[in-house]
Amino acid sequence: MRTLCTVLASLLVSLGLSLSPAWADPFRVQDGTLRGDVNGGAVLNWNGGIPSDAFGGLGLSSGAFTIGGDLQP
Amino acid sequence: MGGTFNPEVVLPGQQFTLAATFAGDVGGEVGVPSAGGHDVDVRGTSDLRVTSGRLMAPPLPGGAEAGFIELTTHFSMSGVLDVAFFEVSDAGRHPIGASRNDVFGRGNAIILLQPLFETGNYQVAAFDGTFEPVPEPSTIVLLGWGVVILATRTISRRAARATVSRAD
Repeated sequence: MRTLCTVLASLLVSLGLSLSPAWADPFRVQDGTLRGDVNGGAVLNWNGGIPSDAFGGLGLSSGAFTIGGDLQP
Repeated sequence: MGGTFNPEVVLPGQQFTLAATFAGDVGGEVGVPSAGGHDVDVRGTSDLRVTSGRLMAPPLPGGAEAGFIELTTHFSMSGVLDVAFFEVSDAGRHPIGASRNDVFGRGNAIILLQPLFETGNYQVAAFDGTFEPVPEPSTIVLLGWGVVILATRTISRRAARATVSRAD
């Protein structure tokens, strides 16, 4: 019983520690899409959750970044 | 330059991992009002690298008119957005900021394969990824403690029942 609890608690702590860096990563896109096709275009839609200090501290609420090609955001 | 896929072509039955690169000039718009209430647009360059999970190309569909094949997988992205922002008004375009940011993300994606009946294989035609949030550590910890408590209670009850059975 005590062993089981120890194992579960250890698992919990290690899981929490392993997730923390990813969650705390400031420029991780957590709400958005990335589409690209063979004709050479792509669109990164960053719909929200952009940190206020990203992109020079402009305070972006969202962004549609068209990369090459003829795709429109 | 824009998007490139590696591999560009896959054989039916082939297992593969897609590596996509989206690099080149960046344009677009951002959702931030400028101080003067004008539109803000973006110019710059990007170099985004995407790696998919392991996939397998299915057998070629019957009929030469078959459409795209959709494969679902997970993906991770990392790269750089190096962009400048411009306020657009009747007076022209004025720079209001510039920034180089390392960006990351992961989620689920649909990869479109186009059957090439002449050559008997597929061309990787498109990538369509949706980013997913990483859960907060506190959420994981709360869920985990719930599991621990439930497990503890269940084990305690079983132990109590076993004791009563033996006493009878």
